[in-house]
Amino acid sequence: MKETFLKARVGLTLGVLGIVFLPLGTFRPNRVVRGIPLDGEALLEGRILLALAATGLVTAAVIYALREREGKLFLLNGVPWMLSFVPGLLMLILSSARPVGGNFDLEVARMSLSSGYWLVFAGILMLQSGAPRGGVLMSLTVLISLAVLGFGLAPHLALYKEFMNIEVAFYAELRRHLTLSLASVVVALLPGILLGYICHRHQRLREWILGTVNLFQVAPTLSLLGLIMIPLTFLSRNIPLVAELGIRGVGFAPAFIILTLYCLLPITANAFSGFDQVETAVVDSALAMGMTRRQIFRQVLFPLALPVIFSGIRTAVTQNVGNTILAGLIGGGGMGALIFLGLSQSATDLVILGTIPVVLMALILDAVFKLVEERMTQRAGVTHDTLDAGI
Amino acid sequence: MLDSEGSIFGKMIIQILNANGIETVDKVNFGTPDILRKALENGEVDLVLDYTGSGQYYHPEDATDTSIWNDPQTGYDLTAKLDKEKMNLLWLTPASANNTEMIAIKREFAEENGIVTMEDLAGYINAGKPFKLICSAGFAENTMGLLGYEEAYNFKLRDDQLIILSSGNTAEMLKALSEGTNEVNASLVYGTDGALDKMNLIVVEDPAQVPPVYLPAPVLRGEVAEVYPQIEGLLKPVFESMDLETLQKLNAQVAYDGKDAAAVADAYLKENGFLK
Repeated sequence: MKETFLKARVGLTLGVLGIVFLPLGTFRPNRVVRGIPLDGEALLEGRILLALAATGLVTAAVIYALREREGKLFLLNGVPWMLSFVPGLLMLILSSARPVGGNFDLEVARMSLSSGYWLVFAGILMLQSGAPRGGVLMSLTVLISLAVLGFGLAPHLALYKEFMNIEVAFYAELRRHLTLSLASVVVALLPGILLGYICHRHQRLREWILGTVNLFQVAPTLSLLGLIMIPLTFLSRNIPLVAELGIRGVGFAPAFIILTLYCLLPITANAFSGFDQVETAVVDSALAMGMTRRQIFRQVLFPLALPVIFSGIRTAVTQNVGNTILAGLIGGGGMGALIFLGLSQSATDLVILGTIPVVLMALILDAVFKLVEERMTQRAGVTHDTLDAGI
Repeated sequence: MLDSEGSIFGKMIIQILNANGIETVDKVNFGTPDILRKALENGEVDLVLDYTGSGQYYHPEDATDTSIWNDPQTGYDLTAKLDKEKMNLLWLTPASANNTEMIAIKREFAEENGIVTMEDLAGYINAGKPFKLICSAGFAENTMGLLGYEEAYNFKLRDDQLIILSSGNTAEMLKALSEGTNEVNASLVYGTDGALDKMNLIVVEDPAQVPPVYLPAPVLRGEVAEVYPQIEGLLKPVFESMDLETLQKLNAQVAYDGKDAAAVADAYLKENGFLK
């Protein structure tokens, strides 16, 4: 089966499962109590037009997903585009929905998005990813939902309420999260690539270096954070210069150091295999032409290895965006601060609010780096497969 | 602090200081209590909210007589004295609300089984009826916590009657209690928690006064106090106004109604004439 149809069918199944079997939203009289779940049926009750539209769209989606070959029918090809609006519209509907009976203080009561909603969201993205212009479609879906939230069109959603409470902190933490995760990669670049080069040149050191950077990777981040606080506290108390630089046992410094160490493995390992995949014949002929070691590194080895090195940097960046969450535990800030705040108050919506930007950041950065990587591969004339590279 | 109380006090302190021309950097929600204490000792932050009973953990070598911590005044005095001498940290005037560790049960459960005090509860447990307590590791292993209760009221919980969480945050525990998750029917709770009324829970009375007294108080670095000696006087009336009931109400507004801590703090300060 063609991939488009397979993805469409999986997506459709997810979406239908979400609508039929799971609650789309949960109405909570206050922030913490277990709420009243609302499924698709409850939402459509008494809204004939909406029910008709929903049935029409689902039917269209079913036909779209179950057809055997790509049709020319404009309406059918429009289905993935129409679905882009569904998550945003659902937010609007959920925001205005109330359970029947009961008097609620609307300033306090809120609507949480539940498992069914997220499943529908995932299903739509899955269906769209198989369609032509999948990337544009998926971005559109996400952007519309963000716009509904951001412009305050769904004021009773718990996500929106939590966002309003922490709006100022939200942007500050977002900036800090980005700074922390990107700056630590930048700092790890030079040592990482150098270590990779040493691995390539000296076989004996290789195991030691790769073993060491591996060690940082496998040690639990959390315990590393706890461990590094001890020497940093000692240094900042006993050496005035260290304290003046703003390096203390808690906060930005320990988070930054740990994240940098974490980036070393993907960068070093990729740099090593990048240098190693360059054919020895190429290096030998460069030597034969009378190039010095330095020239060879700058003009032959490095440019040829660059695409592979870059893919290591991409791994480091995406992995770092997720790891930076832990900085929130030791006062380093970032989205982790919001997530742990939510966890400690058992406010699930605040946790989700902190998680969404992290996921988006990781996806966006990954996409951007992938694009640059492709360009670079084309320019260098190498692919990851040395056979195809024609060297 | 990461709880609603920490946010409310933190925002209040910032608003009061700003209104009186002292510049502040907002690091409310910086981290858990142990991280906060480290940050204060390292000079990463200048002022934190802490609880008088915590002194027993900061200076364990001087806290051997546990009865000190059962009295609000002596506990405060000892902690303040030790921190001043050893760390140059100043404990300012505390609030009168005791945020101590207690045991909460559902109102229905209490009425059905006629439980009012810990003695009643011990009788219920010793009769072999179903009982399951959810609490933090710190409480379960502390002689001024669960171990103290067991000794004072003469009962003993089996391992399978306990669910122990590593963190001391009660939001999750009270949720489990109110929803009856895993047959939990008792939970650790803090005195100033705003949840009790909303979730139909009551606190079991403790005539023997087992746990230490925890009064919330601002703790200021000595060096900063020299530059801004007025801070102590500015915060004093605010903290003195915070009794148990007030604090429970404010906590409920943030933790359960989901209101913004800064807005709740601002409204309280204005209503009571601390801010114009």
